[in-house]
Amino acid sequence: MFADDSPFAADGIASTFRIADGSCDFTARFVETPRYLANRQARRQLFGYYRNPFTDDPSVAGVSGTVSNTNIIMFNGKMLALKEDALPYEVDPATLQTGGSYDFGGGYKAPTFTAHPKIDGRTGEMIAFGYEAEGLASNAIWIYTIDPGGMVTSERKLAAPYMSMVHDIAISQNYILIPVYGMVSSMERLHQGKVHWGWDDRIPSYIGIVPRNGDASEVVWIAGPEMAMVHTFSATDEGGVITLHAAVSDSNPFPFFPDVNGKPFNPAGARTTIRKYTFDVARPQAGWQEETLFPEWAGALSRIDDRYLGHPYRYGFLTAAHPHEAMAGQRRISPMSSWWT
Amino acid sequence: MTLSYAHHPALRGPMEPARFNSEVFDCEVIGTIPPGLNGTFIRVGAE
Ligand SMILES: [Fe+2]
Repeated sequence: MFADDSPFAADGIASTFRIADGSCDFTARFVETPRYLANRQARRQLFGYYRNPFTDDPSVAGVSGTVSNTNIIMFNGKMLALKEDALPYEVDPATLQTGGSYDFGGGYKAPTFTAHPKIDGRTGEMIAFGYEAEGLASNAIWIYTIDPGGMVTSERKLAAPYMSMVHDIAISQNYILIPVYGMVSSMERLHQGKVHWGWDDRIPSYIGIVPRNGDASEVVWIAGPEMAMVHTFSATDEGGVITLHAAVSDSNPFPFFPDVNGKPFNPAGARTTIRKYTFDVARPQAGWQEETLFPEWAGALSRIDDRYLGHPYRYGFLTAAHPHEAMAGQRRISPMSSWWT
Repeated sequence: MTLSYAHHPALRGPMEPARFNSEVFDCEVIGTIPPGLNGTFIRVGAE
């Protein structure tokens, strides 16, 4: 890795803590992606900047540079290591030996798969997507539903207002919410040998809203000001009004993805707080309502208890810091009211 | 892989790469694992 590259470019290592009868056994093993294997054979780093194949060594032209380092899930009896620039890699849950990349028996057609698929807590249906689905720097987002048996049941192809990082989405009972914000790329910047992402503060952000059981043509894009919504908690809807909770910053949260116009990194704009958004699906022109729920807390990596995904929830979880430093750490917050523990 | 990460600003302290596959049979436990707790915590991270 280059010294100024993103830590997101590092190889993924999977680990398990197997707990039974009062004992715990531990195993950790690298996910053996094509990049890992190529580097291992060469005994040197052959891959350049994060998700920029034009900076890779010519000897690995055409070899996937994905690193399977972001999330790991169990689904339909399979353990899948996830990284949003490639398909999942299957990993043996007992030995952590890497199998191959996994495309749900050929039903999942996008070349990329999110690190944060949503599995409905009641039905077990997975809602997954890939962005840059029509190649590097494309604005194509392909959304899939997959039944608990691993069969792809629908495919929807969307064009985002512009190409951006879509690290996480949210699902409510009836809608899929897709944040699009100024973390952007282009073939031009990749050909220039730059790290995949740069921050553009001159473009609006959007939330795309798609009915869970609707057609891609039903997507509504609601525009808003500059912001970065890297992770969501979750969402609910009632009577066509959607409530979304997410950990959001006003501007670029990642110092290793520089401003596209050369502006210096702004730490105040990177401060990520817990925010609540409401959308009226019938009135997209009205924009959204935004409220910061716990202004004194700065936190990221938001989520809820997976058992409530797609349904009403009371609690959210994130890693957060408080000005009184002793209180920093893993936190449970109740976004529906306003308290934390 | 064979680069030194010693001076990488993002790979220090708790973020320092370990670089090895490992297996620990019967981990030391601080405290007591609650009886009836039976399952696997799985995770993945960037090395
Ligand atoms: Fe994430």
